Amino acid sequence: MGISTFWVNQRRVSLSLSPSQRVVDLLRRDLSLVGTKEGCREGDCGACMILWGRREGAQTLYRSVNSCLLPAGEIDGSHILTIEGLSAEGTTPVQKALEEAGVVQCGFCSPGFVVALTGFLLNSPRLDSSLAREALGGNLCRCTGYASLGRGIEALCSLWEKGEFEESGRSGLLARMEWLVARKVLPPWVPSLAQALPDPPPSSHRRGSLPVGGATDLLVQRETLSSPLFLSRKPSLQGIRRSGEFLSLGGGVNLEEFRLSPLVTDLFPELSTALLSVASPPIRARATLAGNLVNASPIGDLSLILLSLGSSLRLVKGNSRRTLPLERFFLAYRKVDLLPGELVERILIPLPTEGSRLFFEKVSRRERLDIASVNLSALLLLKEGRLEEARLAAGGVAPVPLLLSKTSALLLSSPLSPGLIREAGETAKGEVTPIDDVRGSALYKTHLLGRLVAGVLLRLAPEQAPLLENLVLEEKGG
Amino acid sequence: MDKKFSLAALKGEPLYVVDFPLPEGTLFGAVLPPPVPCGELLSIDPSAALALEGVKAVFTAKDIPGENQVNDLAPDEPFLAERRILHPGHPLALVVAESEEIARRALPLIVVEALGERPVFDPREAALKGRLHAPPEVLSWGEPDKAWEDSFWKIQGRADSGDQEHLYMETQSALALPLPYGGVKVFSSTQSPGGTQKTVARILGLPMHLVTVEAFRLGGGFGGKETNANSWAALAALGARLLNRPLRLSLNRREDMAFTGKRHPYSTDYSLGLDREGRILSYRVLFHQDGGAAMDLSLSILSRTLLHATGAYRVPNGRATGLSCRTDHVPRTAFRGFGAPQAFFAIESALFQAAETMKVPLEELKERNLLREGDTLPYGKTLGKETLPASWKKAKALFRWEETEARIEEYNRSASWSRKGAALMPIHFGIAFTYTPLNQASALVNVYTDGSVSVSTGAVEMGQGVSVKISRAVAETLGIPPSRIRMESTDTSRIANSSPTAASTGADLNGEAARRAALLLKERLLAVAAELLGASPEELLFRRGLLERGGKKTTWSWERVVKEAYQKRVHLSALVHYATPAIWFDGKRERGEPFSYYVSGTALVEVTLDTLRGTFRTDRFQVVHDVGSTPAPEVDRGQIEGAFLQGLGWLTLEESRVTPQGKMITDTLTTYKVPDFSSCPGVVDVRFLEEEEGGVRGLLGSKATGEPPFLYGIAGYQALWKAINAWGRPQPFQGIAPLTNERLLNLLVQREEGKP
Repeated sequence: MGISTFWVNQRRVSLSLSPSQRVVDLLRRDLSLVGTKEGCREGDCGACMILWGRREGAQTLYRSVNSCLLPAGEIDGSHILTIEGLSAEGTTPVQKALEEAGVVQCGFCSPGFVVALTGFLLNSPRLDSSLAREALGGNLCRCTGYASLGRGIEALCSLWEKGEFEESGRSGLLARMEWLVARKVLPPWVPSLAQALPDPPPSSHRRGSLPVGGATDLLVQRETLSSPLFLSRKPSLQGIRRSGEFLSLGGGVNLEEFRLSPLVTDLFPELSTALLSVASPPIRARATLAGNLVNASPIGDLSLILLSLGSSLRLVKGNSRRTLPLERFFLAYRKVDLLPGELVERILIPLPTEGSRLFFEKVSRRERLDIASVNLSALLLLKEGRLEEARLAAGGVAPVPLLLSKTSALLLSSPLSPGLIREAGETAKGEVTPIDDVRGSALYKTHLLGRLVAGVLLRLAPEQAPLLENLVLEEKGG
Repeated sequence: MDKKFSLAALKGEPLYVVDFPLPEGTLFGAVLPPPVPCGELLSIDPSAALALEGVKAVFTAKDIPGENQVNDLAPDEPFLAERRILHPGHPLALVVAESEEIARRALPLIVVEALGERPVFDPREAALKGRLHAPPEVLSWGEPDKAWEDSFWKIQGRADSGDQEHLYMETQSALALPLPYGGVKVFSSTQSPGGTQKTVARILGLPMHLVTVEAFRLGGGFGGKETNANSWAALAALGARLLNRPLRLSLNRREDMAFTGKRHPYSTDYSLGLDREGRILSYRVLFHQDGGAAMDLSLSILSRTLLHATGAYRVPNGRATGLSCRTDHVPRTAFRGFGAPQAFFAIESALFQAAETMKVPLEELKERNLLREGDTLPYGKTLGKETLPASWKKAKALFRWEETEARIEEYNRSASWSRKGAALMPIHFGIAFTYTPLNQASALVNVYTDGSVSVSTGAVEMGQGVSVKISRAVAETLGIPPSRIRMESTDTSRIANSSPTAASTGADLNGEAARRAALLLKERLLAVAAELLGASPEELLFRRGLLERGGKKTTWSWERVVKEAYQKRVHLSALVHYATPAIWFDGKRERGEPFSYYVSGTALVEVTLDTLRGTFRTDRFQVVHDVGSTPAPEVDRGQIEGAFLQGLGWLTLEESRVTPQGKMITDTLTTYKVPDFSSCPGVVDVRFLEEEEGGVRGLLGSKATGEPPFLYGIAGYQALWKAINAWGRPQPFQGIAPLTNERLLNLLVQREEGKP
């Protein structure tokens, strides 16, 4: 417990907080701001969404986050905008557009949608309805009013001149904020408050403290966090940079930073779309790459992507460092090669060979905001009909995120053909040991893996698709 | 939706139960579930829990002052387990503590001894063991067996549909306040304040007039708070009464998903006989309804299943048999559609299979058998003029059905690793409670001396827009702007003996009562105005809050007339009761007029199936739907679109999983998936049927919209099957739902391998 000072809407608040208290409880119980609703307490419904502003390095950022998964220990020096704050000066254009589209049914999820769309207007490079829909990827409406939401979004995105919107974002968030203030999307006091935010205090490391990345899984697994060490405030764990033959990612880098970093997207253009299926926007704004690795879920999306990229980890404990190829980091089910007190400092991705491409496949029960039944990542280099490089990694099919080394090797052995694609699928099936669980039966996962292997290869070489279809349907179908 | 409310909701202003400011000294409850799915309860030792600081009490069955019974109709569901643990969600005890955290922390400290038994979760197994909630219900008409023998095409098969979690965003919650003279007031997230009041009174051993239940807007209900709200309200009231302190009980999401009842799974056997040309001759169907461990509303739901057994089709001979099977699941309960979706699913599956067998297009078969004027329904009702044929015809033309079929055929010839399918589906849904006595409602309309108006009815607003419809009906009747009207909460001390807000009847029943109350008030006020102006009341009317005489404005406003009326000691309140006329049902003979009218429509759904990954997308949902002359088109549009996608979720996505030991493994939003934005079709096109039809309708000539469009999800299901059938070698249809991605892939692999 210590005194934290932060801002909620227009108000400066100093409170003694337990660092693991969830912000949703802080808002609803301690501050009586009950417009923020709690629907699931695990980041899956978006009813508790807030805009969370804080200084990160030289810039101030405001992100839509789930307050149920935000530990109060993270908010010192930051600014929380709730639905009450957004509505403080009257009806905003977001609210008006949604109201006119008839979005509101039971009304419970409505504040979350307003927050998410306001976050979209703050951060989006373009006033584009498909981007706005993506921004609502973390909001559920059980009255299932998505069609009207779609109409509300169309109306919102045609309120202003597109060029004007895009122009307003070019010189940074503050300019965009001023632009939104002028259009009454944001209350007038937001920009000055945003500008005055202090640097967040550094996190203090005590013996035995629990390293916490985005807490997006920890707070689903447990109700409280004992003695948390917040990695998002350790400067050495931040940043994405080129470093020699590697792309070096800090252990505190979150998924959205990774997704939007030009350094990353220049090398792997597919990633920015692929990562949409990994997690919802508010989760991506918090969940870290290193957290996904340390969590060691056998279906961790990032684990697979990083495995297929041939990544290695630089681990740090005190002043001692060691580097480890990622595939050796995963020891057994939920067990990793990490000493007590050791942190993932950097994730090192070797720069890919010119012309190689990354593909990510994921099938889950629902397309978005769901955990995979099976997922697959592949780094492939095709030259003149033949794979020169292939590195496939699959999830949901073994106790650990798994490099499919036999399949990868097989793919280099002969020119790409429907027969090879088929054989690769069969080889992959032989490399894995899935189990029956809530994400599907072992048999399903085995079949699915074989097909996802085909999926990445067909995306690489679409001309093979009809040939493979003929092979599959005619061979046995006769 | 009401503009005022909508804007307030978008600003986070409405208060759901857990948002209410708490009175000083409020305590919090948590509920102890059983350690075994079902079996014998031997002992409960709460001493370790009581020793935890902040814990005030642990209440068990022996602390109940009244009757330990949830069920109103038959005593089959003890409220807190006494000797039998009925099901995995059966509450054993209530812990009361100073905070929710402490109360929940105390739960595992309670030592429970119980003898578990192997639970029966399969309704067919239950039926074989004779575990039924009631004797089989049979609805028989014509000569089904003879007609079957005479049939040219004989189709036999099975249809299995799964459960569905309501997942209302606001979990079950109640706040109870002890009142003087031993009374209690409960703020409850309930669809049935009257039913909740009755249950609380029974359990507390109080006369009903000492129990007040009040419901503000719910954060979703969908049927899941019709009876299922009662236990939590009663627990809160029990603790509040016994400790004489305010008490709030709110289930967290996990508890809500594990402890509360869901939609009934059905496992159905059907035999459909048709003549050579595809006209249905006989339909014999046996429904195994998984009712769960106690009957709850299962029998009413089963009745609606039987009444809708023939879907939207003409079936001259048939026999529908319903078994309400007593499994060991948490008692199943009401969910949008109330047994009709399962009935439609069965007959639509039978038709799908028939079309396949006969090698005729499904839609041709449907069209041939579509209900029309003069047809007789299984329970003896002869149809008058119906909008169903018009909706079918219009949907086919407007949405270019024939072109769609041709385009899809071409697509399926040329696409690789992708197939499309589309289906047209008609619906025909009866409006009224099938239990006739529930078809009554009252409304209290108060006009205050400043001219503002408050309206209380028995209807609970939960997102379905009933308050909008009622307030518009009252505004139109009084001739004042809707802004002068406030829709009140639903409170048992203002409106007694209200029926649940269910069966899509909320607006029809309560709105009509409110309209009649408004009519009474208008007559009283116009009489006053007539006297003041020396006019006859017939010359006068209010329009937009102004008094008009002979079509011309006067200087008198609504407010001024109201003030005068008060001065003249005219009664400015009206309480009116309304009962739906002309409906009756003889349950013994299974004959009658159970519904006041029918809602019809026809939907087209098109899907694209990724045959490599076994996933699909819904491309479009287009529908011609009969809403009558609706007072709130935007509400109806939202209801239709939402119900369709919820229905599609039921058949393609949503699936609860319970281990053989009874542990719910899909008790979070991480493991139980409902449709999200990515599930919404790119094209959603809702057209209202613009027919100037006569016939009976509901409020102001409108028709109810809450439940019927849920059935359109079945069109999506059939479209998906058509896409599956366009892949590989033909395999027989299996009426199995939900068609999850796993099932889809298995079906595709079967069609590649040429074997099931």
